[in-house]
Amino acid sequence: MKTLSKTNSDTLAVIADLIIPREGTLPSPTDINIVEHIDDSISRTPRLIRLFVEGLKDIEGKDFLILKEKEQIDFLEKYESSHNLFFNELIRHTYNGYYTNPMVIKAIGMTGLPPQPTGYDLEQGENFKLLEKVRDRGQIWRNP
Amino acid sequence: MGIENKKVDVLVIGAGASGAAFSWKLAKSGASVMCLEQGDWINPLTDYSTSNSDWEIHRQTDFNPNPNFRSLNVDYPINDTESPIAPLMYNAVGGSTIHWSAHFPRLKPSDFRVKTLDDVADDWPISYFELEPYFDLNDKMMGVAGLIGDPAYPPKTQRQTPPVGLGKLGDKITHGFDKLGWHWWPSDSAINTLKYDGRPGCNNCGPCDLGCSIKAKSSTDVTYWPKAIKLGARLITNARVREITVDSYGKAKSAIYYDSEGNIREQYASMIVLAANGIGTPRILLNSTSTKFPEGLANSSGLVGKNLMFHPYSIVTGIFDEDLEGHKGPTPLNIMSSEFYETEHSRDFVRGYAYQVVRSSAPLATALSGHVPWGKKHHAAFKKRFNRTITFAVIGEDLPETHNKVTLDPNLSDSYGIPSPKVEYRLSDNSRKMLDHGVGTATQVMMAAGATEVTHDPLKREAGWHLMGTTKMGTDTKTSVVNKYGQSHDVDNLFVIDGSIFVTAGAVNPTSTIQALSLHIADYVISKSK
Ligand SMILES: Cc1cc2nc3c(=O)[nH]c(=O)nc-3n(C[C@H](O)[C@H](O)[C@H](O)COP(=O)(O)OP(=O)(O)OC[C@H]3O[C@@H](n4cnc5c(N)ncnc54)[C@H](O)[C@@H]3O)c2cc1C
Ligand code: SF4
Repeated sequence: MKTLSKTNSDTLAVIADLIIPREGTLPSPTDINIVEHIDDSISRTPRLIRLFVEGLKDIEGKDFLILKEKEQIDFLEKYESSHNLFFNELIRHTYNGYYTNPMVIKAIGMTGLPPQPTGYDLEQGENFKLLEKVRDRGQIWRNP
Repeated sequence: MGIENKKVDVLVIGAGASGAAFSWKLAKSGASVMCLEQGDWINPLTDYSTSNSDWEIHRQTDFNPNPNFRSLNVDYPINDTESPIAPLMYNAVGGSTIHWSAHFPRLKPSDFRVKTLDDVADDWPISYFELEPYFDLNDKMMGVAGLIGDPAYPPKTQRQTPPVGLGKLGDKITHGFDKLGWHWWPSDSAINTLKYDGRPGCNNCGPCDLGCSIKAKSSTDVTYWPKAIKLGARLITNARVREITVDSYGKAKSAIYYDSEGNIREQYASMIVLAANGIGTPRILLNSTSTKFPEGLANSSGLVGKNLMFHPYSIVTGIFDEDLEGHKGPTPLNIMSSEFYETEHSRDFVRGYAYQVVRSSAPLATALSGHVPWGKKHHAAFKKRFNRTITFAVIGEDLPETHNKVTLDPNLSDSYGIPSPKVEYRLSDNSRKMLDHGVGTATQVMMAAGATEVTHDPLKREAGWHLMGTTKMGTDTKTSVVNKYGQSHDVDNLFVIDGSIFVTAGAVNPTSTIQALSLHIADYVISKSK
């Protein structure tokens, strides 16, 4: 499902890449099609549709896209405190899309696979041997 | 009233931890037992999200432990605006064990004697040692990973499988305990670490709270229920009970419920057993009014819904400067420290607390932890925490207080129009002091283990995992709702078997004790019907 217009999408793309900048081997949100992800995930909830469409329109009305990067960041910092509700959702949806993307998960050092069905090999650990000392202290439960 | 169903011997309401154990025991004795459950079966292979890349997002949506956020058809909303702790639960076959972390500690002997030992609240009408055979039986049925010899408990029988592995992270934190000379132990966990009872061993995938698709985690839909059904128990799903009716003698007669098509049905039974949890059970009782019981069924004491206990939690997180591989292994690491569990009169609070160790958060949870800002500092902040945090859940014993309660909300109801529960809770001074002490000592362990930074949340809101006390057990009919067999003082064919009957909360997760009690009550019911 789609909610966002072309202009909305362009604005969101710029904002998302400022929320999580590209760095080293870590992709930027737009590298992993974050706008599509966000559009998809808000389109199921009327409250979010309203929040995003109105919020992005408001930002567009302030000529956000023609600002320089530094000015855009300053703008968003102010916008974060004046429009907390929308901004929190912007962040949550950007993080949601970014940190569930296999490319990103791989880039942060994991396999890129979901937890199941493979799971992980877990070292048993060496410290069970320290329990001797705990045992040696003797009973600590209180006998009523 | 509605469509009438054929009478059964025993009608259980709720198919969660307690309802499953009880139904199995009764079915095994040959009784005709039926269970009404408002939720449905979960198919572990297809319904859990952990094989999909977006698995973490499900914590915010259809697998949020808070029914108010989840808002599935099978859920009922709860007014929790007057509580600093939000009640959490899951409504399905398996109940909240679908979601649970499978920590499986038992309450300790002193927990049953708090009045005698510490002059607070009330003693339980039953002791640890009376429950011991039921703890053992329940362990066998659920399958417990652990290690015997814990000096914080009386001796236990051999655990079914070895303890959950420590991994790098467990090794790290246990050094901290060791340095301080404080108690820690690989606490019991209802997880198969090896194949047991036809279910496989855990593959250390991590997010047990999102359901275990390989059935290594012991939720009761994969432990008790298949066995109970084989023995003849009937489980009706999508059946939401509205109220329990009584006959002219004041005995429980039937349960009125909505079936999967929304029809009203009436199920008659010789005995009705409530297992709808510490919020669902008082809700049903308070909604079951009649001329004989105008204040709600079994409520002559006025205590139905009162004395709600949650176990308040503080969360303490240490950051370490090395990769601890914190995503490997069940997130609840199942190390528990009982160092500060028992009352110590030199402290400024009575009773005590435990800590449970939690592994590092997964990627999205790390990003959303509130410590990872957007913008240029984002990646550095993420890297600092991801796989490098260890968390202690400091779990405190909150004492029963009548102003902490469940009532019916006059303005909120579920999809069938059944009044919703309203929860009111205030953190006591004793609990606050206890948790503050816990934050201080937990910080000491973190530092001893080498944490470079420690942060804490003094009272976690989304932590109402344990729902207890709202139909208290006792011997005095004026100060309790049920007797030591969960039997209502007012209505002798009505029983409560879930966490509602706890007299006090202890400072460990309750489910092992809830289930042991339900097996104990089942034995009583069986012996009475012979
Ligand atoms: C996220 C999470 C993590 C947890 N982790 C742990 C842990 O590690 N260790 C631990 O000991 N405990 C844990 N718990 C708590 C544990 O799950 C509960 O203590 C336990 O499941 C309670 O058992 P119960 O039988 O009282 O209720 P539940 O298991 O909650 O079952 C009650 C059942 O009754 C049904 N019901 C309610 N009302 C009605 C009605 N009107 N009609 C029909 N059916 C109804 C519900 O749908 C539900 O299935 C956790 C809970 C959550 C939510
Ligand atoms: S960590 Fe183990 S018990 Fe938990 S969900 Fe994964 S496989 Fe199941």
